[in-house]
Order: sequence, then structure tokens, then C-alpha cells
Amino acid sequence: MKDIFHLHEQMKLKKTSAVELTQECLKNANESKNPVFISKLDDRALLQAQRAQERFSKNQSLSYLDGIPFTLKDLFITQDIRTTASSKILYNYIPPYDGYVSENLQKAGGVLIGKVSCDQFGMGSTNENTPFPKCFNPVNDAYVAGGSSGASAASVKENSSYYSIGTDTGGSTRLPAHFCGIVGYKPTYGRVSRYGQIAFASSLDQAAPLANSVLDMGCIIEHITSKDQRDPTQAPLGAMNLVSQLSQAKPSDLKGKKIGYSSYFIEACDSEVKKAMYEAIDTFKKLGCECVEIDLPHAKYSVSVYYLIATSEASANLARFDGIHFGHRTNQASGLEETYIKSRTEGFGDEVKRRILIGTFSLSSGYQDAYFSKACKVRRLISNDFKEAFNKCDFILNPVCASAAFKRGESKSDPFKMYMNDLFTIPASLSGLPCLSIPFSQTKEGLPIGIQLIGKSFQDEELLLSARAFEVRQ
Amino acid sequence: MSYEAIIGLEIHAQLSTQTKAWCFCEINTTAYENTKTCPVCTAQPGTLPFLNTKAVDYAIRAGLALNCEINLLSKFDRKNYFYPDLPKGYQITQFERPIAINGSLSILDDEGHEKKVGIQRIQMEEDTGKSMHMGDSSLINLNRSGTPLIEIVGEPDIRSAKEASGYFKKIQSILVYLDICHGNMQEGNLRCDVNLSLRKKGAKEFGTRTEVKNLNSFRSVERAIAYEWERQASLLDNGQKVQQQTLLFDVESGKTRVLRTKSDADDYRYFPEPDLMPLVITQERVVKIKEELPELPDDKIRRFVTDYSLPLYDAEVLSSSLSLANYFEECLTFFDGEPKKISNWVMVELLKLINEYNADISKSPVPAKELASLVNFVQKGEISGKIGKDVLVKMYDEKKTASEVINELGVKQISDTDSIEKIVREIVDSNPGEVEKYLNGKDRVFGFFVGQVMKQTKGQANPQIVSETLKKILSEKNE
Amino acid sequence: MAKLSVTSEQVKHVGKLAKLEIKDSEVEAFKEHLQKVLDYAQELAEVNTDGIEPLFSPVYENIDIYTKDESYQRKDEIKESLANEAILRNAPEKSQGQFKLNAVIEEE
Repeated sequence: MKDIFHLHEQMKLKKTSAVELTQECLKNANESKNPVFISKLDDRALLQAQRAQERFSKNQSLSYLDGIPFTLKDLFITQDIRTTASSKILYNYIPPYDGYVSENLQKAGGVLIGKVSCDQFGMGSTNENTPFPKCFNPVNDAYVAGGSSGASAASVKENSSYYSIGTDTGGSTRLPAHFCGIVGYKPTYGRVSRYGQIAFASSLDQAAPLANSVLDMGCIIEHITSKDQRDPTQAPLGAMNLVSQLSQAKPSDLKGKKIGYSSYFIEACDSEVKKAMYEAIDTFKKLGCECVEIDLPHAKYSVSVYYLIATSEASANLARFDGIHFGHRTNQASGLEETYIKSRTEGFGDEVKRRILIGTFSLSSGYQDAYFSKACKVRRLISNDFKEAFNKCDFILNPVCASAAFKRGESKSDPFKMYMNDLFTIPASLSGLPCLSIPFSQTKEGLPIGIQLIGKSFQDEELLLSARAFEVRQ
Repeated sequence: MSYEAIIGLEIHAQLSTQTKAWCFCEINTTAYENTKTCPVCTAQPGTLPFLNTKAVDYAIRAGLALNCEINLLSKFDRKNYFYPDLPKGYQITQFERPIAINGSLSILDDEGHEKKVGIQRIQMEEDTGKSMHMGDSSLINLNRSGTPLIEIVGEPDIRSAKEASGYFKKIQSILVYLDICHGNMQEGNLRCDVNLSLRKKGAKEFGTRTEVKNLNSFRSVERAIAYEWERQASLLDNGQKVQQQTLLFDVESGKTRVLRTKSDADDYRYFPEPDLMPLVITQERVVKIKEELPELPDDKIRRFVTDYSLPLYDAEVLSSSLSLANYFEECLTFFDGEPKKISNWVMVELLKLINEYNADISKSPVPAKELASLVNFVQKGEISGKIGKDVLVKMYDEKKTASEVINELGVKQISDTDSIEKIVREIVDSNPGEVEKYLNGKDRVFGFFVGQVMKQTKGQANPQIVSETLKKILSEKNE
Repeated sequence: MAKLSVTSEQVKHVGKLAKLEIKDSEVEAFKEHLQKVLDYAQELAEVNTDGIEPLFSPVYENIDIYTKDESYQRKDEIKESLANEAILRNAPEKSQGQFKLNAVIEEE
């Protein structure tokens, strides 16, 4: 597989074409046994590819993304194309409008291969919380692809698409990227419009691309960062134009950069990840970086803070799925109350119900101060820790997860235990920081191991440039 | 036993912005069902609210006019409850930190003394859609969903039904003066919730209160308070307890009925709305809005009294609505005499017609200019006041100008002394017998002569001049 | 904060608030899960948060970035609404251009 950047050059030189790339992706998708897709759009994609090809033949290509096949996590609203959130409650939902991400990527010429599976409403780390067939890790089918954007990572890894847009609330993009051996990038909270992204936790959710390289991230991010007048929490910074800088990045750019790391997190990992992390530190040192130990004293509370805040927000965000205006309505009810209860009970999966219950409890009268409000205060302390740490370093290097990919079915035995796996990705989410997971090593069994880099708030450019410099090391 | 009522009003006012609070949909109450709706106001998955900044300006206006402090940093919260006309499953409102706090409004108490009612807070929020029953089912129209509202929460400083309606009226008039609310109750632009509890006269602690929701007329507010007062008093008299309940007032029966009893189930789980930015307002913005505030009713009353020498009562009536006050002042631009003369005609004669036809002064069929012209005719003695009233009715009914009606009716008064004197002489000369009687002391005969003059002039002669002329000519006969 | 022991009634009450049916056969599992989360979150009690402002969203730390231009304010300008058919496209039931529900709703 080649970079989007280079494919674009080849398409310009007519060495390959949008139709060729699309047919290739569709072929891979159709031959795969992995149930990655919820909706596959063969005919529509080919039509888009033909149009792109016509533009190239007239030397009128729209962007680096023109003619490049991609997939969308099924949390992204696509006009007239079924959007399920991987749930029963939206099983037959056909959006009457187009979301920001879908609209902008297709405007840039992107070829939408299909909508891919995920954990229901983005809640999970294995892509197993879904009423649809469960997808698995393309590297080794005994393992999960990660979650919640597991199928997004799988579609890229299996060459069914060149990139996918996932979502990252507490690590949902970084984790599957780590499990599948690709790049997953969560921009600073507020960099990409959330309009048309089905909400899980509003103060944490962010659209997050998965792709084969950091350079590809530059090609993608340019098209999903323009200011959208429909999301007030999107910062008015405008499109991020980074492709040419990224394409020129070299390892020596890292000279003199300060990389912070916390032994607390590294020591919490299994031996293979731990080993990879120390190797990564050595590699940065060899590239001329200074690696410094940092302290994030409140980060260890992140899991508690996250699971109170995210579920509280989710309990309200998911109230609109009530069987009245759209989505599943029970046929077992008489009266209003029963319509609500039965529609929702039938429509949501167990993990979603568990989280709604936690969130409802955390906000409820008599408990809000001790749970939701307390969590928000500790969130502030976590955020302050990062500010403090960034006085000492340019980036933070952290594991993505304590281990490589989980075995399939593991999440079923104890859903609570799964929450602990988010410890490494959640702190940056709570503070809204930009972060990415890039492939670095692998286990003896051959499972990928990624590393996570966390940047300063709204300094996504610096983060991506350094990550690219690291990526192109020998 | 004798009780004192503790009453607090919560007034919901729809803001008269062009578009809804969070989306670009037009606010339009007469459009077909669900045609002024979009993904945002129907809460389609993936949508987000984007605050209409005009609604913020309007809320600041209201805050300043009601003497509030404006919070330069306020925020929105979600109030969670399920209802079919609330598609998001939560209402966006301001719970913890509203846009304006600590205001006040002065009203008149039952003895006519000025009194201050505290305004605890003004919060920005959104209206719901509407539902309609059809047999066993309901239909839901979301055109109204997401219309910006302000809720004005008054302190429980009100003690009587009359104070309550006076307070409500004054709020309505201020909001219309500010041009931030259409103020039409029938259309639901303004709704009022009444909180009422009783306590023994002289007691310090409060009793259990009930809340009567969604009252949409001044009269309903008064009636609901009277009914609740009575109902709670009789409960207390019989040693029973008042239950904390939400009630609805039935206009037909004049009674309240229980909508729901407050319980643990009312747990709205308020928390900050993460889809909206905190509401940051600059001091410059507040200052600018303050400078642009229009004249408010109290200032207008004072000005009417000083500038136009109107009695306080007139000034208050005329200022009670902005359109009435504007009408009055427009009349004055076409009139040279005493403003009080116009005031009488507007307040008494025109308002009588307006009320009779249940009309709106701003759409009066008699334009201000024409009312002024009519009063001019009367003032110059060209028609009598009594005829003037008939003329006004015809102007109103037939949408004609004053002079058109006066000409048509031929009622223009003859005030020309020479021609009146000529007629009087003719009548006196041709009735020597009656003159004789008059001179012999039969004063009643004077009336006979007046009658004859009026008959001859078809009632158009100026009665005062007729009377003066008659006296003069008859006294000449006596010499 | 004292350690909290979740009861089955509480789980059902929370279910009622959230409009979720918790069958008797499921109560135990949901209760156990909620209990685990709350037990774990007990660790927050040891953090001193006196005088700390809650952080509700990262946007609160970046207000100056958001308010640097006028784009955070939406002008009061009408844009076309969506067609009635589009709005009702996903309605489980509809009638006369409206969302339909087979239940009588008390007006509020």
C-alpha cells in the first residue's frame, strides 16, 4: 500500500486511477471473511470513482483525497445512506441530512466504499458490542480489532479502504490503530466539527482518522478542519494545511525535542509493551531527543473520572432515542410510558444500557455532587497536570494499552474489567489534547504494538510533524 | 382563620427573533405542521445546537429593563425529562448560572402604593413542540420546538391576585416596549406559572406551595389565585395539609386540577450542556444594549405628566401599551390644542370602540391623523362634542376621514354670528305673540325660540351662540 | 464520602428515570456492575478538590480561542427548513404531516 500522497501523484501521471483503486478495495472487501461493513456501497463508490477519474483526465483533481476510497464508522451521518450507530434502535435509520465529515470528504472527491461496524454508539474497546456480526483483527483472527472504531482500523488494514474516519471518545481510535498496526489520530477536541457525528459523550467525542501513515493524516485532516457554522464547540481555526510540510519532514527535525514519559504508565504494561516502550524511548534519544520523566499525579484517577463523565453525558445524549420521532418503536406497548421503556429496552444493547444506568445514577439527585461534579473537579486537576508537564516537554510518549490486542470474547466475562484498559488513552481525552497512536513494534506472536504521542492543546501541527519525522526514521 | 398568600410568578416569554434558538429555522406559528423544522430542532442523531446571538441580545435587554445584573459568563444546562414534544429528551435551559439575576420591578399594591417585586433571575431556554389529540392517538408538530424563551422568575413578593395581574401586565408591557416579544397571550407568546402558599397572618415560615402552570391571560391569573387561595385555606381550616402539586387551571370551571404530585420521580438531573460554549458577554456589549434601550413605561408616564400636563391616570392608561402610547403621541403631532383633549378622545371614545370590536390600536381604522382632525373640529366649535362622537363611530365603521363624515352628515355647526343673528331676528319677528309671553315673564318660551332656530338650521347652529344671540335680541324688544 | 451499597430498588429507580426496563432476572447483573464502578470511583474521595472549579469541557480552557472572532455567534438569519417528508422520513408512524403516537398525551 502506498501513501495517499503518492497515489495522488500516480493518478496525476495516469499510472493508476480512481476506478482501479476502488475496484481493488471493493474486491478486497468482498473477498474478506471479516464482517467489517454494515453498508457497502459498491455501485455508488464506482460512480464516484468514475467522476474522479474524469476530473483527473481533465487535470482538474480536487484534492489529495480525490478518487481515494475511504470508509466511515457508522456513527457518521450520511444523507440517504443508512446510519445505524451499530445499534438496533437505529437499525433502519436513513438520515435526511448529511454530516460535516461525510459532506466534506466527498466534496474533496473521496470515494465512499461503505459504512463500517463499531461498538454500539462508540461504547466499547473490542467492536463486539454490536447486534451485527462481530469483526476481528485482520492480523490474527483470534484477536479483536479493538474498539470502538475496530472495523475502521480493519478496513484500512485489510486494504478495503485507504483511510477511515473513526471517533475517539476515550481512545476508540488509538486503541484499534494500536491493535491493527496502523496510525490513529485524535485531533484536539474542537478541531473537527461534530455535526453529523452521533454523540456518545459530547465533551470528549472527536472525529479521528485512521490511515497507513502520518503523511496521510495531513491529506485527510485538511478537509475536516474548516470552520462549520453548525458546531459551536469547533474552534474557528480554519483548515489545517500541512501536507507539503509533512512530505518534507525528516528524522533530524526531532533533534532537540523534549519527550516526556511517565514510568507509572509504562510499568503498568505487560512485558512486551513495556519492552517496546523503553525501545521507543531509546529510539527517540538516538534521533536526538531529550527524554524526561514527567509526573501526572492525577492521571491515575482518569478511569473513574471518565466513566462518570462520559456515561453522564451519554445518558442525556441517548435520550432522543425514544421511539417517538425516529428509530425503533416497540410494537408491544400501550400508552406513552410503555412505548418509551420498551422501545429503548429493545433497541439498546447491554453495554449501552449499563452506561446509561451509570450516567443516570451519577447525575441523579443526592449523588451528583459525589460523582459527576467530583469527577469534573478531578478532570480539572488532570488537565492542570498536563499543563505543568508541558512546561518540561514538547510531547508526551505513552503506551496506548497495557497489552497488544485482546482475545475475542474476553470482554464478555467482565465488562467492568474492560474499562481499565482505557487508562492510557483517557487522560489526553479528558484534557482534549491531540494525540496519535503510531505502529512501533510487535509481540512475539506477531501482534502489532503502537506507541502514543500526546501534544499540546491546539498544536496538532507540531504533533503531526514530529510524528512524521519519527515515522520516516531508518 | 385569616391567611396571607405568598405568591411568586414565573413568566415564560417567547422571544421575537426571526429564527429559532439553536437552528436557522424560521419561527412561524401559522405554517403547516412540521414545515419549519430541520435536523436540529427535531433532534435527529448527530445534530448540535448553535445559539442565536440575537436571542442573547434580547435576554440582555430584558435583564437591563428589569434592573438585573447581567452575568458576563453564564452557561446552559440540560434539564432531562422525556416528553413527546421534547425530541432531544432534555430541555436546554440555564440552571446554575443564568444570564441575568437580582432585578426588580415596581408595581402598585392593593392600596395604590408603589411596591417592589424582586426578580430572582432571567434564564434563557427553549420552547417545546406541540401535541394534539386525535381520538386514542396524538399528533406531534415540532414547528415551535426550539423557539427561544426567557423565563423571568419573580421573588415571592406578591400578596394578592390584583398585584399578580398588575405585575404580569407590567412585564408584558415592558417586553413589548423592548420589542423582544410579541406579547400575544392567545398565541402563547407569554405564559405564566403561579406559585402560591398560605401562612397565618403574622407567621414567618412558609407553607407548602402549589404551582399552577401555563396561565395565558391576566384574568386567569387572578381567578386561579382566588381559587387556590380559597382551596388551600379551606384545607388548612379543616386541619388538612396542602400537597406540593403541579396544577392546571380550567378556564371553563374556574377550578384547578392536579397535573402531577411532586415526588422523587421529578429528578431532572441538570448538568452543563456540553454542546454549547459557555455564554461570554462583553461589558461593551451590555453598555451598547443599555444605550439603545427604548423608553420604558415608567419613564413614559413621567414624561406624559410633565410634558403634556396629563393627569397621572391618563398617563398610565396611555402608557399601558406601546402601541397606544405611540398612537397618542402621533395624534399630538397633528393637533395644536391641549394634549388632554386628545387624551380624552383616545382613552374614552376610541378605546371604547377598539374594545367593543376586540381590535388592536395599532391597526385602528381611524388613523391618528384623523382622530386629531376630528378633535380639531370639535375644538374650533365646528361640530359639537356630541355630534363628534357619532362622527367617530362612522369614521371607525366606514374607514372615512373626519371631514368626509362631517360633510356627508351635513353636521357642520353654524358658528357664524351674523347668519345666526339673521335667522333669530326672522323667527322673533314672525312670532310677536311668543315674544309678548316671554316679556311677561314666561321664561319657558325661550326654549321655544331655541327649538325654532335649531329646526331651521337642522341642528347645526352652535347652541351657545344661538342662546347668546336670542338673549340679546329679546332684550332689545324689551326696551 | 461513605461507601455506597447499591440496592435493587435503586437500580430499578435509575432504570425508571432512564426509561429502561430492568427485569428481575437482570437486576443482579446491573447492580453488580454499577456497584463495581461506584466502588472503583470511591478513589476520587481521596483527592482534595477544595476550591477547584469543575471542568465540564475542554472548551472552558480555550474560551479566548473560540471568541477571537465573531464566528462563535450565530446571526439571526433564516435558512430554509427541511421538507416535511424528509423530517418524517424515519418516523415510526405519521399522519397528516405529523409524528403519530398511539397514546394520549397530557398537555403541559
